[in-house]
Amino acid sequence: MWYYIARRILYAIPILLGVNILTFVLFFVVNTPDEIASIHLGSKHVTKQQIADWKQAHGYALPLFYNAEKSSITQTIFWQKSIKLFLFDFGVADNGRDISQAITERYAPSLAIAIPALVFGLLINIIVAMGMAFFRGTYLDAWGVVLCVILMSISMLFYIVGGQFLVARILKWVPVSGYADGMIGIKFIILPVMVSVIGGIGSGARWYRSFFLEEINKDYVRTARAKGLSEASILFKHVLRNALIPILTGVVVLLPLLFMGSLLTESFFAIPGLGSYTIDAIRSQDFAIVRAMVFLGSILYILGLLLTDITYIMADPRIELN
Amino acid sequence: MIILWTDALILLLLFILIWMLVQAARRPYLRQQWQKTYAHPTRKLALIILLCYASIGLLDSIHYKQHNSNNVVSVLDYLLTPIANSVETSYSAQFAQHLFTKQLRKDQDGNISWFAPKLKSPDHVFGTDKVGIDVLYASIKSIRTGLIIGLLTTFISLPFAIFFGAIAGYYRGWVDDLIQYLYTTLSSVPGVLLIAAAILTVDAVVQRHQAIFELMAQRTDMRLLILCSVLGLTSWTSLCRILRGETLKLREQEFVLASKVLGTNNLQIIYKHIVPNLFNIILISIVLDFSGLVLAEAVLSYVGVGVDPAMFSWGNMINSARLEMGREPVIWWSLTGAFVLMFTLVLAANIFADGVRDAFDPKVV
Amino acid sequence: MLQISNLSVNLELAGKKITAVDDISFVIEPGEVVALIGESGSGKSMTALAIMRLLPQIASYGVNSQICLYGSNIIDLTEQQMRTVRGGDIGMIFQDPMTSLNPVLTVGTQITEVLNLHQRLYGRECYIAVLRLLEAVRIPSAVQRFNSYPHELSGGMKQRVMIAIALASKPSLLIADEPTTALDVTTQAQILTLLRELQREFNMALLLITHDLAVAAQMADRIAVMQAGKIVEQNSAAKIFTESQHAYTKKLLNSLPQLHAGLSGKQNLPQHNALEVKNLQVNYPIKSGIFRRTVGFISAVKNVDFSLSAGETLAIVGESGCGKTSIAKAILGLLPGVACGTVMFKNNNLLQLRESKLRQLRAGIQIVFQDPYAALNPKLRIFDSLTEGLTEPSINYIDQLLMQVGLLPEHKWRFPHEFSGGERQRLCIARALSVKPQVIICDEPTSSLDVSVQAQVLDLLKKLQLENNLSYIFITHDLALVNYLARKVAVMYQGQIVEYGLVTEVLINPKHQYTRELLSAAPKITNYKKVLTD
Repeated sequence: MWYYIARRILYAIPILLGVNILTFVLFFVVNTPDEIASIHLGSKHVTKQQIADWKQAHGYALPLFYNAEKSSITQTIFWQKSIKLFLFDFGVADNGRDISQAITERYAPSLAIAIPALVFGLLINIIVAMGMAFFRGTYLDAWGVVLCVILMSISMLFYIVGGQFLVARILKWVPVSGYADGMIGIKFIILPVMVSVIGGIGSGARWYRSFFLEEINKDYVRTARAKGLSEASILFKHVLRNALIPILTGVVVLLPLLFMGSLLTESFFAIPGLGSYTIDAIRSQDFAIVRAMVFLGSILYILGLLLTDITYIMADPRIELN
Repeated sequence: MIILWTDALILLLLFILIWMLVQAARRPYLRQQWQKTYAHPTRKLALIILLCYASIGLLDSIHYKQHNSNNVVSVLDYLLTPIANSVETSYSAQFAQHLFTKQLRKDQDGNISWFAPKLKSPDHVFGTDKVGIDVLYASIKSIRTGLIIGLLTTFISLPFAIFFGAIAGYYRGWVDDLIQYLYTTLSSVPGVLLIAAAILTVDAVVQRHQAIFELMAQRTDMRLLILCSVLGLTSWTSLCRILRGETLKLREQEFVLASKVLGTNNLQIIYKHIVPNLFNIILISIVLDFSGLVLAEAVLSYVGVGVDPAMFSWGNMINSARLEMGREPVIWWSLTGAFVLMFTLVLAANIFADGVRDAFDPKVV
Repeated sequence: MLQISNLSVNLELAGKKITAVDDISFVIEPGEVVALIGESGSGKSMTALAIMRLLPQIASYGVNSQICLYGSNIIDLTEQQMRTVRGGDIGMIFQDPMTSLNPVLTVGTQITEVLNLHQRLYGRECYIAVLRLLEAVRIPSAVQRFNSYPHELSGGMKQRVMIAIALASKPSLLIADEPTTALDVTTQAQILTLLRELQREFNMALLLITHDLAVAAQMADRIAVMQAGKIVEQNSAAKIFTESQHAYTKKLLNSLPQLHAGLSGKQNLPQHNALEVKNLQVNYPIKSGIFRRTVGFISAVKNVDFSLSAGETLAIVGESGCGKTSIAKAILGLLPGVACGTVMFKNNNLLQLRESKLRQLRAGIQIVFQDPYAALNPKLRIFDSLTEGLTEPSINYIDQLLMQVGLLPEHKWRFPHEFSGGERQRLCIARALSVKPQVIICDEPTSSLDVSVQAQVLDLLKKLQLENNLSYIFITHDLALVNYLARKVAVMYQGQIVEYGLVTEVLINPKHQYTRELLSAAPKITNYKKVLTD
């Protein structure tokens, strides 16, 4: 098992390298540092000196790949900005603040919303899906599917805006937005979590329903019926266990990405997490932060893939490592 | 007549659609499958709604220059002239007679008072937005944007997905490894970030070469095209994975082996046997992704990497509308207008997609 | 004990009503073995499901249907009452043991479930009862097997587990729906013997559903023949075979190669060698490690020799996994780098030719596959499928081909899904013929077809062989076909040919132990055959 994990991590390295090269090309080759400088400085006619100053201030005053003057590759943009990411040295944002520090400060609020949303969402989706599978062929199932399709046709933006408007403005149960640490902060996360869960029921329940129905049509369920088991018994003891395999593997891959938070939710509810950090960076065209977030996201995604494989191996007795 | 880039691509899509209809006409089994997609009355309704939206989009894609001015307008604008031209100065509620916001006025005696000016036309069904444009008009004009994003993106991603997926699945070995590496790397970057990064970069390029795009219509159009391209180039990975899996299964099927035994070479086998049998999955994928893309446009506009703010789109409408929700009293009609039209399209598309999946996918649940 | 009267089952499919079972009646006495015989679509499986009330949602019972178990009509029972009958009074086993067991639960858990439910046994008592059941179905090392997962067992063992599950609460009737169709011949013999023994031991009635007349002959006391939802004839087993009344029954009997009076006996005289195989080996590499280095080999075919004359048929017989399909693929050049040895065809060693030269010779050896549903590209018209190997497609030529295999010229513009299994197989044969080969490899070409259609396809193959002086390599697991078609036979076991010679000699005087096992395992109608040929 450990050998397998080591092998997967080894495979992850060229991927991260590829991601790094991709972002490097995107950010530094398509637009050279000179051009980035002119855009940030704004005005149409910038002098060479202004550009040079800006580049110096932000660490872009180095050659791209190879530094002929100092005969080194470490004094290049590629090394400083891209390779250093491997060491988790995210450097400094374009607005001067340290990125690593911002990340350590901001990941907790993201998790505070993302984890409850995931857990509650998973439970509710499974329960609803099982219910629809149990009542399949009846009106309950048919209307359930219709409701799911309608729910998933509504944009998340409307859930958020509508949720804020309805619950916070009109009913005044919880504040519209904001965040605080600790137990008093619960009133701030209730609405974002609720909105995330409700927004995800439509597609989630529908998707899980298809897993349940696929299992119900399999031969071993026919055998279970021939044994004389009741439908409910079959659903819980046989079908659920099998359907959990694809459900869990679909969920586990998302786990690491929870750190990044939901861009939309955090932004609308003014949660100081990594999601809002990223959105602000995109809006202000802060390339340094966007780069760092891209790299972080990749690592977390690859970690998610690894977790998925491990979960799959543990959950399905048919899988054996070669 | 002026043909924008996206207009030309829409024309191309139309030809493809006609070609598909001709194919269906000549093969009874295919025709039967298509008929199954709208067998249910709900699905018939969904199809009709989609056709309405499609015609609106088409009408909006035939552009020409208005005489006596430099404006580029479309046939749809011509048909909607009454509400297109009745531009107020600012907000107004539906069917209102007066402006929503009050203005200061000095009358002859020098007294200053608040008053709401009379509107030019009292027929705004959904009211007007911040700059006075009729909300219904804006929502209808946004249809074309939504349709383009939903369709064009998928069509741009198709060639890559099919090519890489079929080649990887068929040849396996190092080719497969390479392609898998390619799409794993690409898909490991979180979607929104990759799109944002790509668009920011391309934006910078466009800003540098502003001279090329003189007409504003062309500039916004190019921005839309770039958005679709970026979306397409970043989203081919999921379909590629599916097609690769399917190709792995297909290549072991007896009819492929029989073909090899008859002496057909590899490329001919891929072209003649593998790809045509992938069409079902491709079709299902196109239709399923459509609604997701339309919804994604709204989110991208909010993030700031959507279409040009000068272009009509539901995303832009929502973006500007959400600030209005904070006002007292609330201005809600702009948001509602965008919501109603977008929701109808996405719902119809989802229902139709279900129909397509039931008809074309052997594993129906 | 079980009395079925006027049973009808109707299906509602896409608005249309289909009668799957049409007013059938029969009786099963306690301790009796009744076989229900029919081809695909005859309604036999639906009858079995109807007895257990396991019909799909789209099915419903006809108005006068009665299924009386010990006098009471079980159609009238509530679902809850029926659940005590299912698994308690009536047990059922299904065709494919691979998919019929829950893959994520252990064998022990799945048997324990039945004991919990019907016998109210728990804990230690239950555990011991399960072990006893496993021993009763002759599964060795029962204690270890208790904690095994289904995928760790072979096909035969899985089916034994299924039988154990069905027997757990000592039912008075066991319904077996094609229990051995998915198993090898030798395993089939074991399972059938087991069923016979258990049936006597537990004094259980057995309803055996099968399409295989030979199996029915071996097992059944009484036989009912079904066609298109109706029972066309039912009688004691002996009478069905010796005094069959209905035309359909006679047709079925006549289709059996063992009893077939077709073109047997007519063969070409041996001529020059069309194909000669020496030292053929197929070794599939096992790849492991980060860089997928080859760490070992699976030897599928070990040193096989045989020769094939023009106009002659060589049968290769063996069970699944013996390597017969690998031989076919090796000869066809579909295993470059994996197969080595000598395959002499037209004075060339096919295994050592470059791809370009091989392509020129490809037309000389063609193949007909087992599954006619997967062997034709569903997106291509027949004309395109048939002309694929031709450089100059000609409509006349295709018309002639179609007529040669017993189809019509107008069929060339249709699509594969418009044809039945037997017709598709004819199309595959036509495709193989299109490039005028000298050798055709037939890989179990009739295994997926109905009995009555099998005979037609075999006769077609025979006819074409005589007309075109073709050589066949006929791969099969059914010894009856060997006798009917082939002149030479090679018996394969675990990658090696254990016996090779003329059919007339090998089948009558088998020298190798394995050949003898195969011969004795094959279900026979010999008892009745003697009466027939008298």
